[in-house]
Amino acid sequence: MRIEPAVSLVSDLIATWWTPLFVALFLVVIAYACWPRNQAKFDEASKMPLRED
Amino acid sequence: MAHATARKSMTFGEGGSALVFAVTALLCLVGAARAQDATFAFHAYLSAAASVLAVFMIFSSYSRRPSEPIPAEIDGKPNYNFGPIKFATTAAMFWGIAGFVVGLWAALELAWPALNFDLPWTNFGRIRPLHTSAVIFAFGGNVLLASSLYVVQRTCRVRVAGEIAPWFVVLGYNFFIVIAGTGYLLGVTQSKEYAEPEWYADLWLTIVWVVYLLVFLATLIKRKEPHIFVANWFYLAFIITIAVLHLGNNPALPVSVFGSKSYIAWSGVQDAMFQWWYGHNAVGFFLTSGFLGIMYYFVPKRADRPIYSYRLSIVHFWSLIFLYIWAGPHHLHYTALPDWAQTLGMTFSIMLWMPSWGGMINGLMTLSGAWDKLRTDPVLRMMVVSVAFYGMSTFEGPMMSVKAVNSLSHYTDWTIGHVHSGALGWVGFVSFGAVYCLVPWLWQKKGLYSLKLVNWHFWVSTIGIVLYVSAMWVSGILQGLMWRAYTSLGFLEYSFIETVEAMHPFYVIRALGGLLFVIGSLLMAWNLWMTVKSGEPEAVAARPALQPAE
Amino acid sequence: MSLLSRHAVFERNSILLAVGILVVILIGGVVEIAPLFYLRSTIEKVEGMRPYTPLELVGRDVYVREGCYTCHSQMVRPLRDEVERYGHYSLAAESMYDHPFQWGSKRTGPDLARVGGKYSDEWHVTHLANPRSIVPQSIMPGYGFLAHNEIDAKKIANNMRTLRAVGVPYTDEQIKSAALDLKAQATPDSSDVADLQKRYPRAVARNFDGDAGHVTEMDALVAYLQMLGTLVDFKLYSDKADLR
Repeated sequence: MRIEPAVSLVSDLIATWWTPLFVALFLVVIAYACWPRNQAKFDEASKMPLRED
Repeated sequence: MAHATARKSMTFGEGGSALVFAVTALLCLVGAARAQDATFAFHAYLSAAASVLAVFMIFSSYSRRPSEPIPAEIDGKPNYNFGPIKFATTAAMFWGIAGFVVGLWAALELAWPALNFDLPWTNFGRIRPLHTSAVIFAFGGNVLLASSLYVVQRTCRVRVAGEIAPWFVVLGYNFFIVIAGTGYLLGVTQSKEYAEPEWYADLWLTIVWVVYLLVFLATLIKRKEPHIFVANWFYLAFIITIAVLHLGNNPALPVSVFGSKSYIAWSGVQDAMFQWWYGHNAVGFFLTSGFLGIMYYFVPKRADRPIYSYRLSIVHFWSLIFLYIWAGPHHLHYTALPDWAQTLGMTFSIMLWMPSWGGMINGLMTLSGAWDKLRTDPVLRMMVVSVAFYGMSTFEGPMMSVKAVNSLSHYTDWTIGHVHSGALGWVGFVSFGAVYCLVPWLWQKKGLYSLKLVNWHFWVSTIGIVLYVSAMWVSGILQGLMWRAYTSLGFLEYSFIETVEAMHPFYVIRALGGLLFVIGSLLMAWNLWMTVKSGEPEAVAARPALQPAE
Repeated sequence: MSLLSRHAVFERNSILLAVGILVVILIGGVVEIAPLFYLRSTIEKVEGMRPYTPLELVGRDVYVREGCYTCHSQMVRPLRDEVERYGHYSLAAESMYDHPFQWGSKRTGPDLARVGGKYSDEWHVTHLANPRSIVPQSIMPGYGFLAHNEIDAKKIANNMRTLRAVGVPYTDEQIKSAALDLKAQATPDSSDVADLQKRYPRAVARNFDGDAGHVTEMDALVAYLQMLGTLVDFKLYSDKADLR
C-alpha cells in the first residue's frame, strides 16, 4: 500500500512548515479572542445556556 | 420534504426510508442464506429483523401522526423534538450499567481466573473489548447523542432537522452496539484496540455517523441564533473527527462478502500508527471534545452562571483540536515506530496540558459566585468534581507521555489507572451530571426524585474511583519497577510470574472499587426511574423549564 | 481587524466551521502517518521475513479472534531489562505482514514477540488448556476448547488471497497448495513437508497438539506461537544497517 508522491509532497510541505503555521494560527485565535471590540458579543454568548425561550 | 396537502399522504422521507429498509431486509436475508459462518448468519438475521421493525415503525408513526407536517414552532416557541433524546438517555443508562458490570466481571477474572470458566465467550480476551466498547461507545456514545441533540436544539432555538433522521441516528447507533457486542462474544473482532468491530459493523456505523453529521449540521444551519454556541463547536469537532478517524483506521477487505472475517488494509508499523492516531483521538475527540461540549452547556446551566470566559473557550477549542491530533505516537514509545514520530507525539502531548487546563479552569471558574451551590446540589458537585478529574487526568497524561516515564508506565496497570481516572472520574461523572439534568427536563418533571440518592451515588462512586485508581497506580508502578529490578550480581531479580503474583491484592481492591461504581450507577437508575414514574410534573409550561433543581 | 474579524465567520457559518475543523485535524495525521509509507526504516525488508504458512496464519487468526492482545504484547522495546528478558528488540520489518499488527498495549502476561522455540509444544498445549497446571500463579484463561475445533483446510486459500490483495506477497503456488501445506505442517512424516519448507523457509512441521490425524486450532495456535520471533537470524542481523 504505497501512497502516491503527491501526498508525500504535501506531507513534506506541512512537515517543514507546521511550526510557523501553528504559531500563526494560535496568535490569530488569541488575538481574536482578546480583541476588545468582541467583548460584548462574547459576554452575550457566554449567557446562552441560561436563556429561556 | 413534506407536501402539506389536506389529504394525509406519506412524505418522501417516510416512503423512501420504508422502501430502503424493505430492500435492506431482503438483502440481509440473502446474506443470511449465503453466510460463510454462523455469526455472520446470526447478524444478517438480526439485521433483517431490525429492518422489518424499521419499516413497521415508519408505518405506525405515519398512521399515528396528523395529516399536517409537525410544526417547527408552537406559539412562536420552538417545538423541540425530544423523542430520540429520551431514547438515547435511557439507552445510555442501560448500556452504562451493562458496561460497568462487565468491567467488574473482567476485574474479578483478573483477581480470580477461575471466573473465566474457560469458555470461548466468557474468557477475558473477549470480555475486555465488550467492556471497553460498552462503556465508551454504548454508554458514552448515547450520552453524547442525547446531550448533543438537546444542546444543539436549545442553543440554536430550532427543532432538530428531519423527523426520521434523528430517530435513525439513535436507533441505528444502538443497533451497531448490539452487532459489535454480540460479535465480540462470538469471536468476531479485528483485535484493534477500541476499533474491534468487523467490517460490516464498521460500514453500518459509517452510514449512521454520516446521517448524524448531516442532522447536526442541518440543525446548525437553520438556527435562529446568529452565533453558534461554543458547546456546538466541540460537538461538531467530535462528530467530524470521529468520522475521519473511523475511516482512516478501519479500511478492511473481507475474505468473503458473506463472511465476518476481514483483513485490515494496513500492516505492521503503519497499522500501529493508524491505530494509535485513531485510539488516542478517540480519547481526544470522543471522550474529551464531546464531553467538553457537555461541560460548556450543563455546568453554566446548572450553576445558573454564565461561562467564566468565553474568550478562553475559543482558545481552548482551537488549541485542543489542533494539538490532540498529534499526540497518538506516545502510545508507541520505544517501539519500532521511527523516533521522530515518537518525539512529535511526546512534544504535542506535553503542549496539550495547557489547553486542557485552560478548559478546566474555565469550567471550574464558571462557578464563581455560586460556590455555595456545591453544598446543596449534588448534581452540580458531580459535574465540578468531573472537571477536577479532567484536570488531574490531563496532567497525568502528558507526564506519562514523557519517554522516561513511559518506559516505566507502558504495558503496566498505571495506564489502566490513568484511563479510569479519566473514564470514571471525568467522562462518567460529567455524564451522570448531564443525565441527572436531562431526565427532569425531558420528562417535564420539577426535579429529581431524590437529591439524597444523588448524594449517595456521588460518594459511593467517588470512593470507588479512589480505590480503583490508587490500586492501579500502586500495581502499575510496582510491576514496572519489578520488571526492571536487578540483583547485585546483575541478573533480573524477578521472573515474570512473580510480578503477576504481586498484583493480586491490587486486583482485588480494584474490583472492589468497580463494585462501588456499579452500586452507584444502580442507585442512579433507581432514582431516574422514580423521577420519570412518580416525579412531580412541571407545573406551568408545557415544555421543560430549565430551572436547576434545588 | 479585518483578519481578526474573520473568526466571526466561523461562528456564523457552520459549514466553514466544519471545514476549519477538518483542515486542523488533518495536518497532524498527514505529517505523522504519510512518511511511514515511504521512509526506508519502516518499509525495509529484513533477511528471513516471509509471509505466514497456512497453519501459522490460522493460528494467528485464532490469536486475533480470542483477543490475546488484551494481555500480551508483541513488541520488545530496546531497554536493557526487556532485551534480557525477551530477546532482541523488535524490528519494524518483523510485523510487516501483520494485518492487523498485534503489538498490544498491556502486559498482564509476558511479551510474546520472541516466544517461539522457548517452550516445547507439549508445554504450550498443556498450558493453553490449563495454565495453572504448569504455572500455579497464572491468571490466564484456559483455551482447551481450541483442541476440539478442527480446521477446514479448504478455506484458508481464500484468506491468503485476501491478504495478497492488501499487500502480502503470497505466490500463486503458495495459494494453490494452501490446503496441502496446512495439513503437511501438522503431519511431520508427510512427504509434502519438503515442499512446504521450500515455499516457506524455516517453517517447522510437527504434530503440535500431539493429536495425530486431526488438524485443530490448537495445532495452529501453537504453530504460530512457535514461529514468533524466529524468522530473523539476529546473529547475522546488523542493527547499523537498519537505523531507526
